[in-house]
Parts: sequence; structure tokens; C-alpha cells
Amino acid sequence: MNTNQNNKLAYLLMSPVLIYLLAVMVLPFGWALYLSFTNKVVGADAVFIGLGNYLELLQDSAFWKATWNTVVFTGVAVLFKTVFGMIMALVLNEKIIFRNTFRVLLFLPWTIPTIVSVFTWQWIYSDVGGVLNFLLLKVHLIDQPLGWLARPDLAMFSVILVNVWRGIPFMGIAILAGLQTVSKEMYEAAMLDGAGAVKRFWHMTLPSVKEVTILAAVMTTIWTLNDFEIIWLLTRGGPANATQVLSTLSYTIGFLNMSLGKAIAIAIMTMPPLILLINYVTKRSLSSRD
Amino acid sequence: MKNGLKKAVAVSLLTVVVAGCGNTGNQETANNGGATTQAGSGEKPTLTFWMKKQLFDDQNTLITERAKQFGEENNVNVNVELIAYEDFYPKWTAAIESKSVPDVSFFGYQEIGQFYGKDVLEDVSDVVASLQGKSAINENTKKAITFSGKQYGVPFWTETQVLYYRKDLLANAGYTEPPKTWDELREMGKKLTDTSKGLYGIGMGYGKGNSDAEFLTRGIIWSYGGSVDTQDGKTVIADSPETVQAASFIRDIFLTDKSTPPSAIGWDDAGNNKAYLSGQAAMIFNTGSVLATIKKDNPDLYEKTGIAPYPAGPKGTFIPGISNNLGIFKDSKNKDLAKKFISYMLDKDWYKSWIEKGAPLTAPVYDELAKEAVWQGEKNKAFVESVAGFNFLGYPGEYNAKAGEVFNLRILNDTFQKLLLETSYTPEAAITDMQAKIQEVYSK
Repeated sequence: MNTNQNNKLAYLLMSPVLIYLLAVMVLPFGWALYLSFTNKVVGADAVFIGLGNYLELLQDSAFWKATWNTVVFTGVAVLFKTVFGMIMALVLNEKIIFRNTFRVLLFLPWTIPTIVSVFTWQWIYSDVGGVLNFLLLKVHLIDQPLGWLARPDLAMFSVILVNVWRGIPFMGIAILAGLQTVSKEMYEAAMLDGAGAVKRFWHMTLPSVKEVTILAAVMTTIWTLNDFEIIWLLTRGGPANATQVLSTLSYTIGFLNMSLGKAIAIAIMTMPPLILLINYVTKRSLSSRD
Repeated sequence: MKNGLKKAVAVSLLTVVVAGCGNTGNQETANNGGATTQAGSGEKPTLTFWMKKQLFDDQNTLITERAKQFGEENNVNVNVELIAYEDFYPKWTAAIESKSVPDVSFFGYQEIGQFYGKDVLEDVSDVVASLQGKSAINENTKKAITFSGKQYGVPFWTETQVLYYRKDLLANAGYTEPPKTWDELREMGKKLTDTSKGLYGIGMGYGKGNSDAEFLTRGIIWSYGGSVDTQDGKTVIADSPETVQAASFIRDIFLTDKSTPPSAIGWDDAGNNKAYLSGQAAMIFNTGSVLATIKKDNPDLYEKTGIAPYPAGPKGTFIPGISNNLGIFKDSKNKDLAKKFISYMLDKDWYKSWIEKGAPLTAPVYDELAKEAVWQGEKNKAFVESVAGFNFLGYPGEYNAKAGEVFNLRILNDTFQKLLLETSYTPEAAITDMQAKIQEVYSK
């Protein structure tokens, strides 16, 4: 077969995948993009309004508040997940007693369905019989129960805490996998040369797991940016929009207010950072395999 | 020739793959609640019914069995889906957009208004008239689903918010009767609150999305002579001294008296239920769900519980009506069957047994059934007696689609949440902001 025929056959063999991608990704995305330029509401025909939805959103303080909340929620949660994930991985990499049991226990939060863990946390935060308020009252840190999900400052902290609790195991398992590849002999040599634990961590451990940590952090950033369930089930974006993030705002506008065009415009506006992050992950993971 | 054959085979294979995908998609749509009459002649049609999942399993079982019985008697397949209320919106949205709607669906009256405004509901006046011919349906429940003289839903049951109070705690504080006015409620709330025991006088919540609060706040505002809607369906009249007075009253309960639990600002609809059941709140406003729960699970608390109608404001008592209905989408492919199904569900003999399983949460729409013994008990009476005095969204004007939208957007909830969280935010400023937001909805 000549090159031309080979190309044709290649295209032919690829076509099921291309058709699949076209059907489940390109067409729906194109349609969604078009709807974001319309005033589409549920039950009515879409009328093209150009950048109307986008301009309206840019002038809407609720949108900017949700954007800021998304940045805070994602930034703080990813930072803590990375730090605690690293600590968890370092501990689980040591030859400690019951290591396998600890590994299983520490990975549990990741395996529990979100709805179950969120309801558990709701109970933990409750001012009636909630264990958090109970403990703080017992040690006299507070004199009356706190509304963890009712005060704007505490509500953001509370939803971040749940997200961090759920996300640490993923970071931990990723970094632990990286740690497993680091040679033990290298550590032994460093110890013989008198390097302390901190030095060994900064100059040996961290550089060795840097790549995998960055990749896992970027992956978890993508997931955290898209997180909806934890916030929706705990606070629905309240109180006073203190935990309203772009995903909950989009859902509220799309499904409760039924303004699909505007809701999709919000989703489209969250895409550039996501595309950049996904591009980063793809490039980095592919180049590391080369 | 060989190449041509290869191409033909490949194209055929691809066509089969694509066709296969297409068929699967259609099948799923049908299974996911699409209203379908099966394509082949002689096959049974399928009627899809989306029903709100009730608090009581007995009611869920009964209604499912009744639907199946309808299927057997009419030689149709009946697909019943019991859906939690909070899951309805995404499902309705997807159904309307894909035109794959259920044949019969539950709707709160606020959704009837909203969907009527979008012109997606079928006129069911004939069903209402036919049922009315057999037994009188409460006039007030029909008001909320009547637009331009036609009904777009069939009243199925009502719910009423009442005042729950702890008789024992009130007696300890020196009260022999529940509060008759909002001022009395405030005074009692203050006196009953004892933070050292974790007890608060009033369990009112303002969590985002809380629908109980949307109704209660309207009830308070109306009783002070204010409104959150219009008189003429166009000009919002929320920004009035009366509405500000009502807002100040609510703010004082939370911020001045501190008679509500600290977490109340974040409560969802279940928040006040939990507060009452746990003994954290001495008085709450709720539908019959709490009473039904404690009757079954906590007889001691049931005995200690008193039920009273809403307290009165300077202009009297205003009870926000909660009416639940069955309706038909215009895109239903089995409209006649759907109408027959609704009539079947509202057959008085069967309906009586179903409605009483949910007492006092679900109250009947037939006047005659409200006189039954189950509704004449001391605790259940307020739930049916309130129906005649129901006021609906849109007050003082008629209920309309925009009033439904204002409710669904939870504009009151958001306004009051902010008012209760930001001490520098005055009731005057809050009501001015609220007026602007509501006017925006009416002006669209």
C-alpha cells in the first residue's frame, strides 16, 4: 500500500473514535457555547444576544464574589491537601507498626461516598449534639456552640476543611507512589555523610517527588475547581453567598432560576483556567514518559 | 474495485455502529421518563408519573399500588418515579428541554405558576370541573392554580405551617397559652431562652434555599400590612414602612433578643425540625411533618407539644398557603390518559385512605374530607382550618408566574440572611435592596 492508502486506512480506523468524540464532546460543547450567547431559559426558544450574558455577569457582584470564593476555596484547599498529603505519604513510607492498617484507614475518606461524608460532617458541625462544638465547649475554648455553617467566616473554613479531609488521601497516595521509587541506598549514604532529617527532606525527598507532587496538585486543583457536592450539600452557597462558588452559582442560575444561557456562560468562563491546567498535566505527563 | 469494496464494508460497519449508538440513546430517553406511546401498534402505551416522595412510606406504597392498579384496569404500563422535592428542578428542566416530559407530574403551586408563565402546562380545567362535580374542592386551593379563569393543575393536597410550642416549657415560664400575636411570641421567646441549658425560645431558620423561611417571612410581612409582590402584577410594593417594621421584628428576635440558636441562620428546611426534636427550640413554625414524626417516634414529646395557628400582626393573621398539585405538560404524548389518571388518583374513596396516612402533613383538598374525625382532633384541627384562610404568593395581588419566580429565587431568604449577618445593614436598606431585586423579576 502506498502512503496515501495508509493514511486513508488510518483515518478510517480512527473514525469511530472521532465520531464518538464529535458526538459526546465537540457537538455538545459547541451547542453549549452557542447557548451561552443566547438568552435561553427553560421552556422558551433561544434568542441570540451575543455577549449579553458575559457582559451581564462581568457587571454582577455575585459573579465576582463567586469567582473570588472559588479562588480562595481552591487555593487554600489545594495547599492544605498538598501539605498534609506529603506528611501522610512520608509517615506511611516509614517502616511503622501496622503500616498497612494505617494506609487503609488514611485512604478511607477518599473511598467514602461524598453524600455520606458530607452528612457526617453536617453532624460534626451541628450545634445540637455536634462533636466539634462539644469538644470545644469541654475544653472551654468557646462558651456557646458556634454556627459553623451559619457564619460567613466559619462557613468557608468548614467547607474547605471537608474538601481537604476528602482530598488528602489522593495526594498522599500519589506522593507515596513517588516515594517508593526513591532509592534507600541514597538515604543511607546521606545519613552516613551526616545529613539530618530536614536536610534529607529538602535536598533528596522533595526533589525526588517534585514532579509527581506537582502533577497530583494540578489534578486536585482541577477537581477542586469543579467541586460542587460538598458546598451544595453543606451550605448551598450560603450564608450570604459566603461559600458561593462558580459551580454552585451556575447550578442555581441554570436549574433553579432556569436561565440556561447565563448558567452556561458561567461554566464557559471557568474553562480557560481548566484548559490551561489540563494542558499542563497532559504535557507534563507525556513528556515524563518520553 | 477492491478499494471500493473495502470502503463500502467500512462505511457499512460505521453506519451500524452509529445506528446502534442512536438506538441506545432513544431507548434511554424513553426509560428515563419520556412520555411514550410504544411505536408498534397493539403494544401497551406507557404513562409516566413523577410524584413527590412523601415523608411516610405508607403513602409512597399506596400511591405506587394505585398507579399500578390504574395500569391494569386501563391496559397501560404505568411508570411511577418517586422523587425528592429538591431533585425535581433538574429533572423538570431536562424534561422540558428534551421534550421528554412525564405524562403526569407533581407540582407545588409556585411551580405551576412558573411553568404556566413558560407556557409548558396543559389546561386541566375539565378534570377539575369533573372532580368538582362529584365532591367540592376547596375554593382556596383552586385559586393558586387558576390563571385567566383556567386551571393548570389539579389540587392534590395542602400543607399548612403552624406554630409548634412546648406546653411544658411555656408552663414553666408562666404561660398557659401559646402566643396570639407576634409581639407575644417575641416576649415569650426571650423568656424561654436559656443559653446555659442550650434552650432557645424560637427556632426560625434562614439557611440559603430554606423554603420554610420563605413562607414564614411572607406570613409575618403580610400580617404587618406589608407585601413582597404587587397589587397590579407590575409595580412591586415591597418597600413600605410596614415591610420594614416586619423586618425589624425579625432582626430583633435574632440580634437583639438572641432567642434563636446560633446556627439558625444556616438552617435548611430540616433545621427547625431538628431543633424542636432535640429540645433546642421551644417554639417553631412547621408543617405537619414534625407532629407526625414525634407521634410515631417520641410520644412523650408529642404529649408535650401544642399546636396553634400563626400569631397575628397589626393587620391580623396571614397564613401562607402551601398547595400541592398534579399537572400535565403540554408535550405529554398521552394527555387524555394522563387526565384519566389524575381523576383516578383523586377518586374520593381511595384518596381518603391515602391522605389520612399522611395526616396531619397532607391535608385533603375535598371540603367533605376535612370534616372527617382524623382532622377534628386537638392537634390536627389547625392544619385543615387554616386552609380557608390561605394567602398565596403574590399577595395582595393574585398569584402569578412572577410571584412564583420570586419565591423560587429565594430573594427574601437571601435578603434576611444578609440582614441578620451584617449588623450595619439596616432593615430599611435591606427592604430597599429586596424591592429592587423583586422589581427586576417583575420587569423582565
